[in-house]
Amino acid sequence: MNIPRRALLLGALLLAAGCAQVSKVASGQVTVGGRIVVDADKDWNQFEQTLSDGTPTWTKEGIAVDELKFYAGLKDGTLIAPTPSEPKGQAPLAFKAGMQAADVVALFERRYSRGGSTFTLEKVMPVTFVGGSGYRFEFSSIRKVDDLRLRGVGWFAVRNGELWAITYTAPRLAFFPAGIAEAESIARSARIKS
Amino acid sequence: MNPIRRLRSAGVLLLCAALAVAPAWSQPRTPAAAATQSKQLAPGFSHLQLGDKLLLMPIDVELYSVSAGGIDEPRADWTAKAHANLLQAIQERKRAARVDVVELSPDKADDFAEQSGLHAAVAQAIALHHFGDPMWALPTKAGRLDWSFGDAMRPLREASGARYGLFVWVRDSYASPERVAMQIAIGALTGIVLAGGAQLGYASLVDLDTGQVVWFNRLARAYGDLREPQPARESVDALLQGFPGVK
Amino acid sequence: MKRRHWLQWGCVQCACLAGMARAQGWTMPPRFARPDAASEEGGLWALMDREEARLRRSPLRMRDEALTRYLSDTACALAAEHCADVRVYALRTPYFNANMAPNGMMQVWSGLLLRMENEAQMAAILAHEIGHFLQRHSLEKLRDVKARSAVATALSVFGVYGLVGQLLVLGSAFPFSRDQEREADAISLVLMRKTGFDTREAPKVWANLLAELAANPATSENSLDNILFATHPSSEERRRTLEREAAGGSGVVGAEAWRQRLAPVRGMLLEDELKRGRLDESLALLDRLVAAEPQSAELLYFRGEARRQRAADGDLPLALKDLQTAASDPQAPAGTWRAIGYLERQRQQPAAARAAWQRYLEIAPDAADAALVRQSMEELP
Repeated sequence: MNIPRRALLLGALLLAAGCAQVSKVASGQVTVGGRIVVDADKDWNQFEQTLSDGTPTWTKEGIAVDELKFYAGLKDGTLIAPTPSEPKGQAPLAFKAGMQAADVVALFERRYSRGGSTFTLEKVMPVTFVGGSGYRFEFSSIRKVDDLRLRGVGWFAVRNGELWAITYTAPRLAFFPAGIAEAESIARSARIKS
Repeated sequence: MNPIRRLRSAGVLLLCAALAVAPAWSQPRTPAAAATQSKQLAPGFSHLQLGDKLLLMPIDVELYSVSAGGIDEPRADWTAKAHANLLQAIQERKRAARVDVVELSPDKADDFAEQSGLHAAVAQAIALHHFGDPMWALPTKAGRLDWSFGDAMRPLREASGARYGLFVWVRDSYASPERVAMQIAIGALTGIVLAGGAQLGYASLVDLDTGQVVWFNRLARAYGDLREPQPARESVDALLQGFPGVK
Repeated sequence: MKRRHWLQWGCVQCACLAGMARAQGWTMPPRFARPDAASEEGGLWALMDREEARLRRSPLRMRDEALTRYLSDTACALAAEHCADVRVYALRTPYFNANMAPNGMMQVWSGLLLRMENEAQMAAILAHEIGHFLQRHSLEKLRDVKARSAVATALSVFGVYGLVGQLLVLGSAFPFSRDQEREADAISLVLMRKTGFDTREAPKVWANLLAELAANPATSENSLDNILFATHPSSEERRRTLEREAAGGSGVVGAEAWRQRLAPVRGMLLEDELKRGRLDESLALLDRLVAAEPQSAELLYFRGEARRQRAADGDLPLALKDLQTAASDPQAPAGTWRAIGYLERQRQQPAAARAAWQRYLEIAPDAADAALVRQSMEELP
């Protein structure tokens, strides 16, 4: 068994912590990550821990197609995505409490650029998010592993040194245009659980 | 995750996967088969119309042999044969089914690279979430084959005049225990744990106008041979099992 | 298990190579015929043909006409009678990589293009890969590509594996043996000499890479963990051998010509470089680039920006210095003033920050982050 297979086997075996890997999110008011509350007009699917790299992730169409991710009040030093088993000396994708808006955008930029994928920022502007001032950014990306062209939108705010963010990515053909309206609606409805 | 938890998780995963293996093995003509067939069809779709035209996208097939030394080698001759056999079998079905099939010429293929790439990504999701182990099922799909490309496939319709696109993907290797380890790994991801050799693949029929995936079949089994016309016909039958008829 | 197998095979190869002609006695083999489809090599060719088709239509393929034409023409000149069998593809991927498949397809990644200082160094890389191709080293290395398709598909489903994983699957992360590298090095010098490039530039490619690696305290030379060396393990020994063999060389260096060719895309490549998140290495690279072109506002901007992002001890004052120097050139990238604004804000200099951001918005009113910068300006005390 050569190295890639072994790695794959190990990776696969590490994936599951139980049986059902996807749970249903019923439409209505939903609390995500214990701290962020949103209103979903339709049902969604939520990946369990193992498929979602630790960040609560919703999808309509499935793995590696569309993703709606929730970062619910990340504290100083928390990673927005795990450091992969890749080159050492890689700066971890850690949120820092003192980050300004541009730094948060750069953080997501690095996240989506990993592994040789491209990230092109299209626009970023101030908006209201989780009941206060925040930002919304749009981007396009080419996924290295299969050359798939994606589009994405992110909303974020830093409140009391914590990061609140939602990101939505989907293939630029068909899926992003079809799914973005719902993602926008969820983001607009997002508030911090009191 | 500490090593002990890891092992336990691995065990649980394999158990879950193993429990769900059964449906993938056989293709009997029973009520179970009928249930399988409806699983393969999008809601509201049951057959092709007389005169419908199908666009056969470039077939993505790779055949491997595992040598005595335990190394997988791609076999161009086998792959070429499998390709030819698949094509021939599809053409035979076309004649039998009185459906017009046109092939997308290789020089045109580049123009539709994004559509092909998108289909491949979605097909993997369908193979995993709809045909894989139930633990991967997407609850909102409620067991339905319900994926659509919207208007993204219309350029293909315009270029070919075809109503439907047929996408075929096959990975197959002929051998031995060596590959078993890989198959277990793939199995863990897709819900199939195979003891012997494996044919992995899918065939997908997409309405190029509405973008709806109207029919899909996933192949995952321990036998089959695409290299020679006779056994290849059987493999293709398995790949195209449940392919919609014409009315 | 694979590693052991490979090492065993490597030793077999050593024995074979021991008898092979040294560089001086080496002659170019005749053109390769397409192998029998039933053979192992035939299978690999066909597989790489399909990979090539994917590359050709990949959105990551670089299409800058002048640059890609130059790469093809240079590879053609170096490959001599094999010219017709060589096809070069430049990909926009910010890592140091170049490899050539048995079917004659060569890919060069943008991270490598960025690190070349001149035409001779670029030729050294192309010639080195052609050397591997002519001696059919790739054939052995690509044995593992068979598994690629099946495994890569599974991988792509989850995308859980990063670039190294992907390279592993493509077989390119398995390094050539020491003897194979030595052979390819020797052949590259022969080809460079024949085509008129200055061979003394060849060892500099590796020296620069080693220096970059050394800048990152977490990495080690020849570590498969480090993407830079995943494909081309380097060593002081190799560099010294190359230096010795290349001595007394003369010929085209082509620094200015190379810079001009790279100019249209260099900004984009530097943006990609910074996004890698390996700023120690990026700064080692930028120090080298700035030393060669101290007047370049573009390079000073990126070095300043890299320091600003790294923000290690002593970085910020140096960043400001670079950025202010860059800003004295009105043609500097607009980001220069944006970065100055961020630094001045951090230094509690709101007036200077406001002035810098004002300038940024004047130059780039339609920038993607114009609204964000405007907002930041409004929030200044």
